[in-house]
Amino acid sequence: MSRTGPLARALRSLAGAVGTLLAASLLVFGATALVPGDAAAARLAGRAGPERIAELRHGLGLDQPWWQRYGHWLWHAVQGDLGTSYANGTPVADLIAARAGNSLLLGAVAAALLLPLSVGLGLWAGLRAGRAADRLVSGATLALVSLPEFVTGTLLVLLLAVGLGWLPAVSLPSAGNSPLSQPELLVLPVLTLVSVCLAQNVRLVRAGVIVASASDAAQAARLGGVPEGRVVLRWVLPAGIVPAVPVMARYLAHLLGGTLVAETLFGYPGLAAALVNATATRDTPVVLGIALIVATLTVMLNLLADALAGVLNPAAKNLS
Amino acid sequence: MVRNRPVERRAIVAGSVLAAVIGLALLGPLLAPHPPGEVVDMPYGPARGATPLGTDHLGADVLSRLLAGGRTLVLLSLAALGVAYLAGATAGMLAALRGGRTDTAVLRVTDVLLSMPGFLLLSVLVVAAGRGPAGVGVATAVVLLPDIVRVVRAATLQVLQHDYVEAALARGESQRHVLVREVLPNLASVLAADAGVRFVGAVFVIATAGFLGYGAQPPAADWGLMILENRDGLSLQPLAVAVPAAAVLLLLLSANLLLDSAFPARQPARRGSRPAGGSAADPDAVLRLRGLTVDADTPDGPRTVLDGLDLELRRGRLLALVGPSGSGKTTAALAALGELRPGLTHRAGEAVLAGHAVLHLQDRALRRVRSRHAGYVPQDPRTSLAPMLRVAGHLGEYLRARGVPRAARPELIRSAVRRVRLPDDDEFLRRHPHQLSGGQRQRVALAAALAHRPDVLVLDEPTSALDQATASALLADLRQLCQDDGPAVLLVAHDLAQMASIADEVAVLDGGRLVERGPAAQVLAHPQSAAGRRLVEAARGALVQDRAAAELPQHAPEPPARPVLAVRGLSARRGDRTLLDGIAFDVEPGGCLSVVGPSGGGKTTLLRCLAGLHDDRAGDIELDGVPLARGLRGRSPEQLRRLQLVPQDPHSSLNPRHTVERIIARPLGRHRPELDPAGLRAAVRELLERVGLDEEFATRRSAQLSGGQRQRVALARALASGPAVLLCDEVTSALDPPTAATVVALLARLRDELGVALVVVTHDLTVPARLGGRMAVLADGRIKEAGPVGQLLTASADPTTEDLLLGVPGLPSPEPRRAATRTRP
Amino acid sequence: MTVHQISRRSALRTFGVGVGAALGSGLLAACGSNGKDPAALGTAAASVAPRRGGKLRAAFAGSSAESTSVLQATGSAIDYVRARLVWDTLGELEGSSVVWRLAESVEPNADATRWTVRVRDGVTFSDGRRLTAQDVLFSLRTLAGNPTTQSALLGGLDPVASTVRDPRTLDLVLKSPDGFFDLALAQSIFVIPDGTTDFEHAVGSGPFVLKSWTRGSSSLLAARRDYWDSSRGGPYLDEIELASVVDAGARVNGLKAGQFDYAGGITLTAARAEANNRDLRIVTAPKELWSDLALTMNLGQAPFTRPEAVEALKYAIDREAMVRTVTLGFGEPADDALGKYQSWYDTSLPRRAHDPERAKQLLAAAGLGGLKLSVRTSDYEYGTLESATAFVQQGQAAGLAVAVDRIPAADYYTDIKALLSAPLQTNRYNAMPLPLQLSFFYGAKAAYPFTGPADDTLDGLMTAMHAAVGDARRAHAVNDVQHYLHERGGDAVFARIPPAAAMRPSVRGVQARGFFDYPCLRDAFLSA
Repeated sequence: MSRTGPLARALRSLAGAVGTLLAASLLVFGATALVPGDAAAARLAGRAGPERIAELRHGLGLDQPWWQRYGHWLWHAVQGDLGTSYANGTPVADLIAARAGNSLLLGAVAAALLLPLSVGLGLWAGLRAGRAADRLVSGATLALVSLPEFVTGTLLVLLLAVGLGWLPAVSLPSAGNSPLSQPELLVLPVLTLVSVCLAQNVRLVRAGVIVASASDAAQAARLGGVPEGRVVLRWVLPAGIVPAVPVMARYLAHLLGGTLVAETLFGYPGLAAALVNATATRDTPVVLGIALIVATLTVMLNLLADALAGVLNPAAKNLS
Repeated sequence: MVRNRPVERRAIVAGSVLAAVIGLALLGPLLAPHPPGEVVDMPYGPARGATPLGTDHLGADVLSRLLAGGRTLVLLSLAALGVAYLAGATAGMLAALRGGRTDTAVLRVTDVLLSMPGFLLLSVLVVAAGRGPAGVGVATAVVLLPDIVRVVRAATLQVLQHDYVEAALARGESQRHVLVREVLPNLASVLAADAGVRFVGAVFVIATAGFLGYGAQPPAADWGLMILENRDGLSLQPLAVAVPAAAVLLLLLSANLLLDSAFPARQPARRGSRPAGGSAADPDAVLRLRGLTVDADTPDGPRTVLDGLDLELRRGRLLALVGPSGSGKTTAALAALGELRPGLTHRAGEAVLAGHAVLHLQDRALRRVRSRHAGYVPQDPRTSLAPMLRVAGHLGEYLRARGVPRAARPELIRSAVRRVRLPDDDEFLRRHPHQLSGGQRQRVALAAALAHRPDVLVLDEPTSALDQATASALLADLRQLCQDDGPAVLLVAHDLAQMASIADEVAVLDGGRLVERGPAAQVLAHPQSAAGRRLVEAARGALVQDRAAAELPQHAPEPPARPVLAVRGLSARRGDRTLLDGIAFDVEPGGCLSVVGPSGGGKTTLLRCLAGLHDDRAGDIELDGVPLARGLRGRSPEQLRRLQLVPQDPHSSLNPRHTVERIIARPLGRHRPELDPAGLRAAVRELLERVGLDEEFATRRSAQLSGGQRQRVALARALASGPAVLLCDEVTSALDPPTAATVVALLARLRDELGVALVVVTHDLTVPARLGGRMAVLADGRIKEAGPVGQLLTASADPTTEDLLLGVPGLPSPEPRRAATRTRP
Repeated sequence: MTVHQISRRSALRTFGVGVGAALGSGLLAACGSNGKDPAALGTAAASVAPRRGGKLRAAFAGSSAESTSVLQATGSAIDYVRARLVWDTLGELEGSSVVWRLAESVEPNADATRWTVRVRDGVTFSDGRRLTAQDVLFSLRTLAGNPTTQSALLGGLDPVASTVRDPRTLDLVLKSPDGFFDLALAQSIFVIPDGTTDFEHAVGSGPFVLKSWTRGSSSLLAARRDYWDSSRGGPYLDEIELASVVDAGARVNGLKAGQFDYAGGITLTAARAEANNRDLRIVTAPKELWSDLALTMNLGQAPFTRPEAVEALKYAIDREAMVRTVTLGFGEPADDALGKYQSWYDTSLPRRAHDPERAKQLLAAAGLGGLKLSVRTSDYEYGTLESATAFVQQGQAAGLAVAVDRIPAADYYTDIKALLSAPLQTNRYNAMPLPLQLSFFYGAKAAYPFTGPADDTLDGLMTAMHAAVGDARRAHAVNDVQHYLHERGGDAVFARIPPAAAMRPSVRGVQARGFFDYPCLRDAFLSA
């Protein structure tokens, strides 16, 4: 098998991905070890005496050297067992499985709205560069991103849920069923997430479209009598979105990895809130479990972005 | 460059708003009526008397906290942004430039940082860097870093594709210099667009850190923190959140608008609306331009590009439109299709295509006329086809535009491809443009233009970027296609020699006016107009046969001195493909070796091996008897100085950001450090004169120079470090013959005056014919034949050389030519 | 169980993100006035006759580490509310006195070293089993032996020596005399059947049974018609749905958007914003369940080894200003003593008026002019960071150079060494029966002696307090301790701050019974 064949390249990028995950898990473990206090103190400080806390610390094995604990965790993680939470002993997988599902669902719906919207707006503004429409879109998206996420969310709740009562204010599925069964729960969090992520993507697509629309190829097509619609679809669009693809992958990973403010503001049971709680209570296994999910998402989406860039810009493929 | 009033106005507005906000932030603390922490009234008190903007969650005056809250936020976010860009840009550029292990290491680190949940990364960094503004600043910078590295790396990879970077490396410039001087100035526009939104990120990371308790100790204030800590009372006292949010919004919006207007996007071609209506259709002529006048609006008033041009074209006739560059050839051709580039306005006259006054039609109607009656083939094959479209897809689109039903298309596509003598099998039809050669791409464009049997076919210098053999084959096919009741063909060309064989008529344009028109043979034999005569003379000078017969500039046979450049057993590979095999030759001091051959034969790879830009090679190359290391790093500064590269594409061989003087002064300063600034300027002027440019070019940038002038600057740059050998990579290919001729003459003069040895790679046989010295024919990675130029041109022993010679078109000379015996198997 | 530790459990509160976004009805309806004084919980409800049936939807602060285990019941607000419905406790607090539930009576012996517990008859678990003394002893041993919050208060119990005398009587033996052990037994001692191993699904004798539960989302409980006490009260409702909403602002939004009937633990800002909202009822805790805000001085650390510095600081605090700004006018000044309005509180303690001049003189006399102080605080709970920041300005008037040392919420409690050695820090003491609270924070055996090691006099008073038996002598012993702490204690308790909640007007019968933020919904019902 030659050194540069597609199979070799795929294997090498897979090995790279695993390496990245390993490094990320070590960094996260180091991070939780660096921050003062530990799970035993976080759980019982102020409610039971120091000797009871020391007893719990020993029980949880927190007094072992950090590299031994990391080795122990890694050894089990490789076999698929993410260990148990320090806070209440339940297996980490149970704790984060439902939340991961919720976050993936919310992220997917938000992405399903964000991607077409940013490409559409970017294209529409790019084709009218410099004119009023372009400035309107650029200004609006910029204003949206300059507003902090939770102010936008708060305004949406006040307007649509509390004020007009069209939508539920808290996106909480009733016991036993998933948010999918009550789709109206997702509307407000999705609107908030999309409003924040829109600006950067629209700006990149717009810039790409402007360059592609003025390219010789597009000009030749127009001179050759190809209608503007087809020119935009086959000449301008594919070349236009190439620069935006890697950034969109970044936003996708951010959306799927759980977003703190949307989950807090709307009470949506996602990964980010769980991560914040686990970090506060120094619950290292849960932090590692969630960090692994986020890391895997990021790495996979980066690989996807590179592949997509290859498809959209075949010439670039053999350049890299 | 046309001054664009609205963009400038918007820049001033954005700039002043930004200045005002930053001023408020920096001077605010001095103006605040109360200290930020002073409790003035009940928390979330309404706006009244002492507290014009009400109070916040602590009961402190919102106005005072607003005034006091800007400084830390603005300074810290700018500092964090600065540090992040400094580190990010350096890492990104180094990764792109060095590639290999550095690249993978940098990417691996950014991937790991990206995969860490941002908020966890922030809390750990602050704990490590210590709480307080400094710690938060460092943490913010690290959180922003990975994204910046990726953006900069991608942008740098694009800049590196330009030749001026490789030329700088070949000159032995340090990587630091190349990054800071050559690459960074060109990244500015990318970084600016990115910095705008990144600034938003910095502000909110700092606010979140503050809110989590890592930032400045209370009661210090900062706008981001004020927004987060007052959000409880949003309904009770909205001003406590609205006011700081507005401040942040103004800060970010004005910064982004300023950045946008500082780097405006290029305005796409905007078609002004023109009065409708047109004259009666004229039956017989397929294309008629009548009294066509077009002006270009330049900073100092309108300049006429076309002045009352009259032209007709009947079906089946091929009219070649020639003239010096800037004579309006391309504008006339595009006007025939009803297209005016941005910045041009149609003053008078009209263009009638198959009975339609195209310059008066609007988009939809114009598009229908074009799709039914016209065909167009662009100039540069590298950018004429959309990278994503396969051959079949490209042709399919044009047929679709003609209203051909989907079912009928596959067959029409195959016949269109066959008509331009390209393979019509599925594998070829599924290829992307980057899998086609230049010639094949132009043929695909031609096939698309002819797919619907148009009445008029317009070609804009279709063969300028092709080597001679491919070009003449394409033109011969074009001639044959128009023979049997084909379309009327308007061919814009600059190579008179090629036109001689295929054009029915030749029209010469000069300064926007038609100065001469007539049958090709008659115009080329007896040009009447001055411009016509200049063109024919330049073309005739390029004739090989005449040069071979004439006396070649003989050098006094020097004693056989040690060769300045000796190559033995050179072979080179890329991946698993062999590019060169068993190459051996010598170049004496002051000698000249022209390397010719078909494209893809390995000519450029040979030059890159000599210049040290291609290290996957074996065999040895000696400069002044001392072996040259494979890559640049192993070569001594002296070696790097004595071997200079002149890149091929004039558009990308000079850094657009640098003036001509700076481009030449850099290598000159390194070679002759003893010169003081005045001496340096004088030396630059002297070099410019040597390459035939007067000193007022020193202050210009490459955008303001023509192709020929850029090539001369590139030559001056190469000569600045007093080289022993000049490596010239296809220096004439992108120039029209008259300019190419002057550049080759310049090379010859430099060789005589400075005694510098030349290794010239070219596909144009006229170059060795003029330069003399020795010649080597390189094809399929091997030297087929080598020897003195005169001997190879007249009595070549190898079929490859024979084919090359056949590719060169002849020109009807005024007096009867000696029967040149040329038989073609 | 001490509320002090529970309220900080809601994780996002620790991150201050969830300080509680109180969102009024209209964005710009900035109502400035303080609105009518909100009714105290439980009092106004008595007038309406309870109505049977219906489903109550209540939202409380949850966390990602929620659990249905009886040992983790005090992990978060929602866990605690659910636990109080599924399991019965030995006894509950009504005001300052104890109302026994599963216990009929609890009597100490002469020197309070042995306590006899009579177990109520006729109580059945949800699986039909009858309650016996053995179940109670098993529950006590399980709670004391595991890392639970109840274990801190049962520290004095000798689990091995305590025995079951007969199916309805229990003899509890204490390691050392404790006259207030009955109060400890009234702190959420949940009773589970003897021999339970799976604590996540432990059977309870409470008024409701858990039908379905999704961690971090919501849980559904159904009423038990055969509840032993249903003759004298609830359960009136058919079902209760508890929604786990971490952010206080989100809880209020849900209430106003009609998704919930009751929102626990809302911020005072929300209480003020919604004061004029007719379709909501804002309630605050009964006064004895308010929290105390204090600037705690560690008497073992400089400069507070000098009594003049301690005294000066107590005079430097402007208690009225703190009430107006930190408690938004809802609270009231406190007199350097905990547990006001409880029967144990010594009402004769004098008030220290705000007197910056006297503070300056005291400092000058002790040669401590221009004293530099750093207040360790965090936004762990509402009130601490806000009062520290307000004290910076008040301190200047009294010649104290005060700086705020804000610790991230997550690190505040986990760094125990810093917690017990900080010279000056803020504290929010949540409501707890006074004797238990005193023994938890003062004296030699204190779990968290914030004010430094106890001196001999304080030790003597504390031992006397524990040894006192009978209400009159116990009250007198507590007053002695309070007097001493008021004179020479390190806690400058300056204000009392009420926890608040909001509900639809139709919601009735929600009783705090010792814990306002995790109320007892046993007797809750929906009026017409």
